[in-house]
Amino acid sequence: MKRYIVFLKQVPASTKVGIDPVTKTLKRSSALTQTNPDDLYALQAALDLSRATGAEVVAVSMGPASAEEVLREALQRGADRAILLSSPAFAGSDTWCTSLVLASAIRRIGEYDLLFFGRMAIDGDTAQVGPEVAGQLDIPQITCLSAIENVSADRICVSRRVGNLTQRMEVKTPCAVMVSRENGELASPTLSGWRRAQAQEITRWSETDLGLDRSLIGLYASPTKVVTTAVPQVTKNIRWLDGGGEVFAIIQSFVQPSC
Amino acid sequence: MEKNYDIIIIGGGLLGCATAYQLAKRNAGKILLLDGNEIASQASSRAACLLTRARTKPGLMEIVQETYDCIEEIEHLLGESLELQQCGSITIASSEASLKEVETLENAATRFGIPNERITRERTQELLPWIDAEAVDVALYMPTDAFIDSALLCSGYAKAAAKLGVELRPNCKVKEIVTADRKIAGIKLCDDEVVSAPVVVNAAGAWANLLMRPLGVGLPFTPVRSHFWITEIDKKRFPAGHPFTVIPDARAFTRSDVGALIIGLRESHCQAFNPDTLTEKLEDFDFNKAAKWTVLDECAPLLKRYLHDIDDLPIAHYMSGPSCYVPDAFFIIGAVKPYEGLYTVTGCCGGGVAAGGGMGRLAAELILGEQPFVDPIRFAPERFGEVNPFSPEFQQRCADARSNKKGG
Repeated sequence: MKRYIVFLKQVPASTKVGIDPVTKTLKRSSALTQTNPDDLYALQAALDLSRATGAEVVAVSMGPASAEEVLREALQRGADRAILLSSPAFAGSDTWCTSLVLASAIRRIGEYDLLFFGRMAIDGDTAQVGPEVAGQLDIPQITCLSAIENVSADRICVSRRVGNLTQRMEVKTPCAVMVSRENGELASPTLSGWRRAQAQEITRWSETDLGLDRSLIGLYASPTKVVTTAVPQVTKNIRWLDGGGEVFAIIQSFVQPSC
Repeated sequence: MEKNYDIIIIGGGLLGCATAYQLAKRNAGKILLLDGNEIASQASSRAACLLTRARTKPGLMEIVQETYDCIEEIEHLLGESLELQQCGSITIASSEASLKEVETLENAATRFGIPNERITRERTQELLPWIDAEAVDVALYMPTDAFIDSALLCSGYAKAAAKLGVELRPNCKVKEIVTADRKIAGIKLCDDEVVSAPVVVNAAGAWANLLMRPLGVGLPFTPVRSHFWITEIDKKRFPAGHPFTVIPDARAFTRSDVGALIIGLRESHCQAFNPDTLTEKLEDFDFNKAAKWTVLDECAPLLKRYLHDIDDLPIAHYMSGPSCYVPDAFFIIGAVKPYEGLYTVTGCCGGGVAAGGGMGRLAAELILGEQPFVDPIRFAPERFGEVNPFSPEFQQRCADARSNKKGG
């Protein structure tokens, strides 16, 4: 049986998110949350493909206990099962340590054909985790996926955006794909899906379950160091123009700067 | 910047803007309206937007009619449409209890001259392609009922008020209401600027009691969660502009929304919020997002007889907002004792869109000492005596008013 693994992240629902003054990480507990939008498109792509191939869809999230919400949503939308990777030891992990944890979880899950990631999360904006997981597992990766065109026993044919061009390629599986909202439309969830999701068990794994050394994960193991953060200050110079003559002169200076 | 006004209105929602318009229409002097956020950006943009004309409570039909009149006046004044959608409404009865409610409504409508007719199951099916008409015992059709985009209506009041001379200051948060010897002196802004006026109208909606607390006054309402669900678009099944429905037996209303169906449901135990917990902007407030599915789960069985596939209907959007509920489900309009010059217009009880124009008119008439067009006694702020809107017991009384509501 084929297996697709989809990774979903809980992110703040608002852009007004506090920063921990000591760790310089997002204060996630202080904000309303949502499932990272790109990750929902990754889930949709996996569900759409699984309808044709019969693959099992496994949803995985790493985060605090509240991240169970995104897994319930994944189950509601049609995932077959869900795994929450949660431990105080994971807190503060940068993209490198996160990819280490996710790769360990994938190995524990076992055989798989495709890994689906959202292109990037709206809180960190790095777009690094998917590619790093592919690197950890030494499998091919397809960024900027635009469509999965064909699937065979050990290969997929896909197209991806490269600037203004579309690149078509055949890739050996297993591989990782990075999906964004340009990839398709989300199906809306239903009440019956919610009821089904409430009845399902969510598996929880910690670093012990994954056989991970605590010294390799979390804030202090992360090679990324956030020294400081600041909100960019944008200033605009505004001058009110009196009358059409002045407007015309300014436009003309742009059109014919030498005149 | 100007520091002295005749009247200051706090709150740029439907009730504040409608009051500003009604006061300006009556040449009430120099008027300032402020809001901590953009005009029409908070609870007034989260409404279900129904303009139900027929009401069984005294005075309410006159108040709603005033809103319809305001819409016409404002469209004329501004030379632009507020996009009123005259789709009609259908109130549905499927039990003895709801049949009695429909009969009362029918009598009230007829008495007030609102066109209404009982329609057959076939006609109901024709007007509402999504409904199982077999579940309908009686359907009361009122073809002149309408809905309107509440944010557009609110902006319409504000623009009309501005055109008549009212100064609007959005994104200007009021820190406190200033008094001297039990008389209103004005307001203090968050930057400590003081603006003077002998009359202040508190129309700050869900936040109104936070401004009243330092004055030792409690207005008899609390914010209670209202919410609705919007299905995916299915233009054939939910044609744009089909009549909205009120279904008391399902504690539900529905209305069309560009090819989707808006479904409003009232849970058996509504959720009240302590005003102290409110955030400055509602987009940052947690209305308890789990309610999107837990309340639908509770209420769907009641609606299922009319909408068979509600369990499998794709839900594209969910909207929740605070409605300001009063224990007796009547609005709060009038002078706030013991302060001379302090007024309030609040406690919309889920009817701010339909009643806003009339509530604003009554507030304006009371402020200016004119003969009120409806009896103001039942809306008097002090009618419950002293109340503590920050106590859980009082908040529960307010939530019960919504739980026990009969109409849409």
